[in-house]
Amino acid sequence: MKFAASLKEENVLLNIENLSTKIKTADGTLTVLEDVNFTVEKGEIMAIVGESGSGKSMTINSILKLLPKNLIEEYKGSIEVAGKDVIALNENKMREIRGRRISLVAQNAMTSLDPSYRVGKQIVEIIVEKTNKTKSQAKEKALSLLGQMGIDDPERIFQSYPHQLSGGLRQRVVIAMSLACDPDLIIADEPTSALDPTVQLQVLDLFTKINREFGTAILIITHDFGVVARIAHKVAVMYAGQIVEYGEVGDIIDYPEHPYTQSLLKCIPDMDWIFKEGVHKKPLFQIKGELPNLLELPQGCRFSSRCHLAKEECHVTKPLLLKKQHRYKSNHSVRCVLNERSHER
Amino acid sequence: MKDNTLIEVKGLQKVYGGKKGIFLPTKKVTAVKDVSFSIREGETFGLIGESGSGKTTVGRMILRLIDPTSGSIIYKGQSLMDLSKKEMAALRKEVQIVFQDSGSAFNPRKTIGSQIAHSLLKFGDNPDSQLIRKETIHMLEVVGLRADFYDRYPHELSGGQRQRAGIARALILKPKFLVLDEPVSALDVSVKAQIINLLMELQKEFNLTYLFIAHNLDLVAYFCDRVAVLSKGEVIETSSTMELFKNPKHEMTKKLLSSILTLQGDLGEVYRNRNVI
Repeated sequence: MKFAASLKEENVLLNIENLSTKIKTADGTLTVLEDVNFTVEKGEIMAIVGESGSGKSMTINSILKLLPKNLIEEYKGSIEVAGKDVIALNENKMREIRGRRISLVAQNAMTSLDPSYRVGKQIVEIIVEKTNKTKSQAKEKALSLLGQMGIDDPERIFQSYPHQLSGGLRQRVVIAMSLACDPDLIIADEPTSALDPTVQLQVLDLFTKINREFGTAILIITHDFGVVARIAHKVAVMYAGQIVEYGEVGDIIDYPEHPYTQSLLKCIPDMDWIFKEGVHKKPLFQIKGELPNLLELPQGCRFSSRCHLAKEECHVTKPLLLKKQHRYKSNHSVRCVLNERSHER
Repeated sequence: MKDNTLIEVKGLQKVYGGKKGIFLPTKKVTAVKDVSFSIREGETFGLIGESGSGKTTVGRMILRLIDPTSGSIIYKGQSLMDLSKKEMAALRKEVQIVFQDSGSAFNPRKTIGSQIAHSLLKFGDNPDSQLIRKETIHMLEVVGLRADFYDRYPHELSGGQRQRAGIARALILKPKFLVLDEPVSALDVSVKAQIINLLMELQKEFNLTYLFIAHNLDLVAYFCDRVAVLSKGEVIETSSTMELFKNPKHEMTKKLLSSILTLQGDLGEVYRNRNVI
């Protein structure tokens, strides 16, 4: 199924079709991604939301070709970045895409910065490596980027070592670094999970600002629907290596169709309760059970063993990701047998 | 002191450094400046604050895993500061802790069961190994794990299962008071709710008193009876959860509450729409 079909070709930055990735391990073959399809357009913020083991990070690794080469059992489908198929590209060509067209903001800012060099030097290094700017031009650019990240005294930060900065400042430096070569797309892998709630909010708003001012598209990976609601336009919900629901954020939050999405949304405490009485200390909504083992996936729907609506056929029939028909002009798709049935009627 | 106070903390302070190093005195860092609160029997008391506010240090000082620089901790009318190491060890039966990172809280080279049973072996009254095994397996079942988890190693468990095992280890000696140091921060959304629900059930069943240390405030709202807000090593506000969320007084509390992300926007917006802030 082609999501990009209805879109203008030139607006598509990243188009993933039927992506499937399998990894060899000592215990057997892990199906980490299966039948992944989505599109990121210019200037849009898309979120992938899911729990650990759902395949969010593997999706990124597949896009940037950062998979452990000797362990790949299967890596097929198509990943188009500005019209080029990434899967067919060699390492040299890939280096032109990484950093320049697509840059990555990792979860832990400390690991993406070298502790033994001043952060300024590290930003300059990237600019010099990836563009044909001189060192002094690069420094100018680095300082202005740091300023744009809401850092008050860029000069001092430029001269600091990573360990001298707080978690929030470090993440800002890494985001500045990711913008160093004016990429079309920033992939942010749980960029705020390690931060305090107050700092998380600032960093999320910084992403929104970058998106508005530079028009940079952002693909944000998160486990928190609160983050999705805050900044994203579009969202893909992943479960056990598959996208189970995909569409506009507003549609998905207001009309979630997949039982997993519905449950995940219910797990987020509804803060309106504060203003009601008698909700306090009531049990929270919980999804029973745990993610299926990726070594031996169930035959039918992967969520069926935890689903409160599961019927017999859910355990045997593999559901497809299908577009919802009823809603006007929406691009809302769901992978659920029960949804397929409502189509046929 | 009121009858139902279980733990009272007065003027707790922890200063690191300041001692003479090899060349120069090291820099003094005050992790906890002045913390006082009391926890009533059977309640869940929340301790919230940004990282670096001193919440974990306070939690550990209560168990005397870290010795306070000054201040007093009174448990059931008895000052913990006056206890000898031996006496404190005996008291540990009653006060236990569940750590944030269940991955590093267990020894990777020993089975889950043997680590839970270890406390029984050390502190329990009955050294009979069959009985200890039986009791450990019973505790595993209480926290929702199967008996065969006894012989598994920590890495074979998922994060949620490991945290259940951590709770089992804390409960095996039938404590009265548990320090929960960010027990769900590292867990997935759906598993978080499972663990919080489990803790609420266990509290009812065993009449436990909790000190819940957290930075995710949304769960505090559901879980805690009263909350103290820490900022830079000081308690800036203590009140009932309902009161704190409905009527936050201190600026820092408002800032912390506003940063909760909900589906309707951040809580700050929810507040502003309702003219709370």
